Amino acid sequence: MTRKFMTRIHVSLFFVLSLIFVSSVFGFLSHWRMDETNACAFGAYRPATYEGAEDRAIYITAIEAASANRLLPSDSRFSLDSLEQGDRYNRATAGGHIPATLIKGIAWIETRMTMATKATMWSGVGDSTISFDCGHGIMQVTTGMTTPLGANNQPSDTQALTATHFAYNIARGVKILGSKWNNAPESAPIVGTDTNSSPEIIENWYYATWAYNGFTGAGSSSSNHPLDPVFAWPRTPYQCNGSQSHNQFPYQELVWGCMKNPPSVDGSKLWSAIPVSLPDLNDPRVRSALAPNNFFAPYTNMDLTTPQPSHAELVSSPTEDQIQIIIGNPVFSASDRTQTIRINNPAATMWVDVPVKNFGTGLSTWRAKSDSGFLQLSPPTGIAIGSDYECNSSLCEENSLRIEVNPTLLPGSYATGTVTIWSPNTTNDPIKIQINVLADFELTFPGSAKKD
Amino acid sequence: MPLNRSFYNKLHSKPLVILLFLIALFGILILLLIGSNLKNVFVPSNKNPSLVYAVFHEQFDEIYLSSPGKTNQPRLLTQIDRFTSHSVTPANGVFKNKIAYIAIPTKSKETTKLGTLWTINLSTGHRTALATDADPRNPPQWLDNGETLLYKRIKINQQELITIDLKSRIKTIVFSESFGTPDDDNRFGGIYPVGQDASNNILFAKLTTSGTDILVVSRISGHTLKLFRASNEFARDFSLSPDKTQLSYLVAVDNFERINYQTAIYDLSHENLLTYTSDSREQFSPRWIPNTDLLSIGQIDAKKQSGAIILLSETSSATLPPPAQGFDVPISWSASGRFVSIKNYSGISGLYPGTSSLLIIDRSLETRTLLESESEATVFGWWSND
Repeated sequence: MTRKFMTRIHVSLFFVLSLIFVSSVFGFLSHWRMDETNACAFGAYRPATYEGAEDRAIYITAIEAASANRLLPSDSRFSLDSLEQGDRYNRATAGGHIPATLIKGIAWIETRMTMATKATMWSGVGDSTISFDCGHGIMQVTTGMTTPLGANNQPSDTQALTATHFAYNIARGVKILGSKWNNAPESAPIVGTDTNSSPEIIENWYYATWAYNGFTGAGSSSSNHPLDPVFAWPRTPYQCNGSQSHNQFPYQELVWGCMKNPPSVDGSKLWSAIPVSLPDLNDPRVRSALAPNNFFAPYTNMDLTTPQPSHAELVSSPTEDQIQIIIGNPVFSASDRTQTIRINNPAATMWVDVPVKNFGTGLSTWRAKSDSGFLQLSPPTGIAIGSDYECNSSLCEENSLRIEVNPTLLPGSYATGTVTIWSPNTTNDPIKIQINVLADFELTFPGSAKKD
Repeated sequence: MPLNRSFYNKLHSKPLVILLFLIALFGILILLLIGSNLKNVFVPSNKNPSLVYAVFHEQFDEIYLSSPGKTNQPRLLTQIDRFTSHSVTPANGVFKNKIAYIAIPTKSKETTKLGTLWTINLSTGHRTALATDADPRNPPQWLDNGETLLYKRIKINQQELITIDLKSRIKTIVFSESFGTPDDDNRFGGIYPVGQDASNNILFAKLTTSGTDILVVSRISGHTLKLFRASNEFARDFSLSPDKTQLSYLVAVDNFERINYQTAIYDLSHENLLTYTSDSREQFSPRWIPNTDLLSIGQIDAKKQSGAIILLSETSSATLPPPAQGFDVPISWSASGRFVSIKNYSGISGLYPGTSSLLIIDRSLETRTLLESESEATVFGWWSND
């Protein structure tokens, strides 16, 4: 009897220990995976963003403004740098603009020109699109978005704007594309040795577009080299109509395909087609430039003449009023400047929701931080929609900051902390909310309980 | 005691029997549903091999089966869900009723650089995931008559060739080499699986800034040997002859003041290299015909203005029925050599190929049957029980 009982205990103990061991291993592995996959600016958290209408009109206007540096020209974090032109040995900054149709093609290939995840309604609010490699939003901005760059290991204002506001995201993507152009000749090859490498000619952006996705060589894991044997030859040019796989083409050919064959929404083309030319891969000069032995920095022998026939695109000119609608004049506000939270149970979770509003126009990206460890904020970043933006989802109104008290971190039975809320794209002063916490229970420690 | 009706009725009432029958029927249906994702599965006869191919859709690929000469439409076998806009990468051929492919998982949070290597048994519908670290851009290769698969893995700058035994699931790294440095974003070069030679060694191509070399690695000793330099730049579309003694591929050649691909054939036994040019302005996708010494090559004949596929041997030359428009490229031959799946391109050259369609050519009847022209189609190979 006792022996049987002991055996049962042993079996049960073994079972429990096995369970604990397996759980620990899985827990460790899952934790490790979380760390590995969520190491972007916002970690595991996906900030909210606004998604425009299905016709993408507001995005297209923003792209056209950004292409000519008219969207956020006075903010150096988001303005287009002056573009260089000239051949390799005679290159200088000359201003210029990026052809808007090229940016539209990139935005379509990156995200089908959407800012939020697929679950988000058109003209609604939802989670910002963040890819496995930390690409954020419409332009899938990766540069500067892989780790938190703000104080205390928090995201910076630049990162918050890039992740939540489509105009800042587009402007940032355009700035990065401009920097890829300007990498020539020091660390990138040039297209347009016969056309003074003018940035107005779309075909001259071949290498810069390749570099936007990664200036990767043949044989590498994400090769964009047009002669890499992993890409079929011949290959029907990319039609941008959903009938062809992306992995059959170098990135720049996908973008070229969408410039030539604009996607449609409800039967309407999103932009005017431009029959852009790719480099002639059967031309001995092109072939020589793209030869394996030329693929090393500064890629001097990879320079190309402009593919023919070439196409220039005039500066697109949205009106000042259109640009003003995009940028708006957001005025953010958060009510309840002082809050008192009473806690009578150490196991209870207590919080207060602070509504965050935009009484102005456009979109207001807002952020929040706490000066006390016992106050936890959720979400730390959000977007408040102005009155002039159509917003259909219920999330448009449910825009609030939750301030939660963690009782285990309270320094005493009475504690005070301050939460600061600010908007990086408004001129409002930061709003400070004082949180007073009254703990109506005795703070105890293990072994300190009184005996009856 | 003999079993009579009254006794039977005493033990099992009618409603109970019906209930048990229904439960059993339901169980069988559930088992069938779980056991097979395939629709309309059938086992083809020896005389009528069927082409297995995938048709691209944004969110998934559809796998079809088509028997040449039959009036019925291609049969939808199954659907493969995978990462948006990234089609499966199939291994060429059907072995032991199985197809193999690499697909990027549907909700890949890791990267589009990692694919899962799968097999599907076409008879049972059973799917098996063999590896989750395959390079999705390089097709896996069947080895050992379908006993083994060869695939490529990339870990940052380290590239590896890995074999996996389908029975034991044992994986072996047969070759590994570093290309560039981990912090080098603009890497160049890599390895491309080719197949196995007559001695069962593994053949692969290695691209560096010097060009493309063909190497062989022993599966016993692990010793690697460079066989020859295929090209000072890019060589592509490698195909081993049925007896595995000859390797055909495309190299870029200066031709008609243009750089066009032409076919090269390397004799692995005698270490001879031959480049076939003829009147072809451009050549595409050389493919050997099973059980013969014939090599089929897609081409654009400059003199005859023809885009018919040419069939070559040391002693003969012939062409397949020509297309009404554009040019044909051979994809996969049936075991008997009677049928070939081809891609027809409506355009005038490799640079301007126009739109493509998937067809089957019957060499005996000299007929062409259209299978797919709307969406991109990818061929696995021919399925037969012979």
